[in-house]
Amino acid sequence: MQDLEATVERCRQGDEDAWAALVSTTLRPLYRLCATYAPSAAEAEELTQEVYFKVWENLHHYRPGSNFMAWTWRVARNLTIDAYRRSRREREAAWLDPEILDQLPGSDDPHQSAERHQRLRLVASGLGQLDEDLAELVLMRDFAGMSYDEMAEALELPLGTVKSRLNRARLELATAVRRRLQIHVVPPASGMLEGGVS
Amino acid sequence: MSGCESFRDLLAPLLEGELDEHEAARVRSHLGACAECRELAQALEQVVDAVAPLDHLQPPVGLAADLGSSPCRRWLGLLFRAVDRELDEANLNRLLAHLDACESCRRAWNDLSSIHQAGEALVPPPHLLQRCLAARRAPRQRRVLQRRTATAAAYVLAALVSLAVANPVTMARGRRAADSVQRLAATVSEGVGEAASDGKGELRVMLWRVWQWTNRQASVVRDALHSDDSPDDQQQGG
Repeated sequence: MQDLEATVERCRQGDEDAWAALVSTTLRPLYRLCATYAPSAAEAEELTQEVYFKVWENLHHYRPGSNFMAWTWRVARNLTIDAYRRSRREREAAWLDPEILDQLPGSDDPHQSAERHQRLRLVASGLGQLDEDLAELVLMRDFAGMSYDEMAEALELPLGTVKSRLNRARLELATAVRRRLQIHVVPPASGMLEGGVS
Repeated sequence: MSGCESFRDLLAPLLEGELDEHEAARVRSHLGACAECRELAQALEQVVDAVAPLDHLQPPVGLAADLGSSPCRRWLGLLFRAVDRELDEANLNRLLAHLDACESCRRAWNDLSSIHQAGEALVPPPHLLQRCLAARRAPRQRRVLQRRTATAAAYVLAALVSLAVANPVTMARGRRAADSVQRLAATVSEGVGEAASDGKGELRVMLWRVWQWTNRQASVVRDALHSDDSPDDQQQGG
């Protein structure tokens, strides 16, 4: 964390090597964030570039010592929200794009690949039934892998509020998925009832 | 089942591994007894299970190098903003410092500024606004017969109004004719005005123009009468 802060500080001084280091350190979570919100793999890449440009342009506004990733999310919020609205409207998502799915482990097995796609379609359909702000919480936590602290800081909400809203969002999503499961036959996941989930 | 709500609130924490062993066992015991909560838990697990592979998502090869290098491409973004005068002071200072040091960006700045200045120098001809407004007002699907009828009706009205109002300018030079001409002008003007407000589409526009023309003619008549009357008044008063 301190390394990241030092790198950010060097970037603020105009150090190009530090910028390359910052991109290298943060690209994976930021790309994942963009792939969570964008409607396609190509747009996820474009969105990532836009986000980095905006971060670079606004570096002088960053308050040293605060959470850089949460700040980045806040800076990128308008871009990601626009992308997500387009994604909802078009009923598409980068994480449903074969270009991305084919890179994930197990994608060389056609059966596993098809089943994964079916499950993700099911989730996408459930997310589409949630209010945008609730769906966003699930996206941040479960898709983009953000921590509760990052979410709280990014959304400028108390930690407890984030947790309770996320809980509500997940339950609504599960209810929507459950309704769908009663229509579509998808093999149920196993583990929680047997205590296998940790 | 009673108490389900409190157990449902614990489903996500159970999945996240946030519950202690005792509490987790209590929730599992409830799930074993309540089919509805169990289905909900399974659905929640489906979601987590479906999304889990995204943990392995990797950015496209070459994206990091692309983003980390090419600083001039980033500066070009600021250049565009600067030309559009949308850049804040801090970034403007950054940009100016960079322009001092980078010849290719300086060249790009000069080119962009020239293009922008040329663009700003382009002024639309005065009649263009009226044409655009007229195009906006024009109905998309014109019915030719209706348009011709409306035009003909408007011209007939214009001719009638012209005869009734404009010609009396020469006739009504006496005080006695003034009141009747004014009444006539007001009546015709009012009638055409009502037709204009009740009409539709192009007919309404044409009538409106006639009505405005009528008003102007009536003003001419009144002005003419007033200027003709004034010397008489002065003579009578003297």
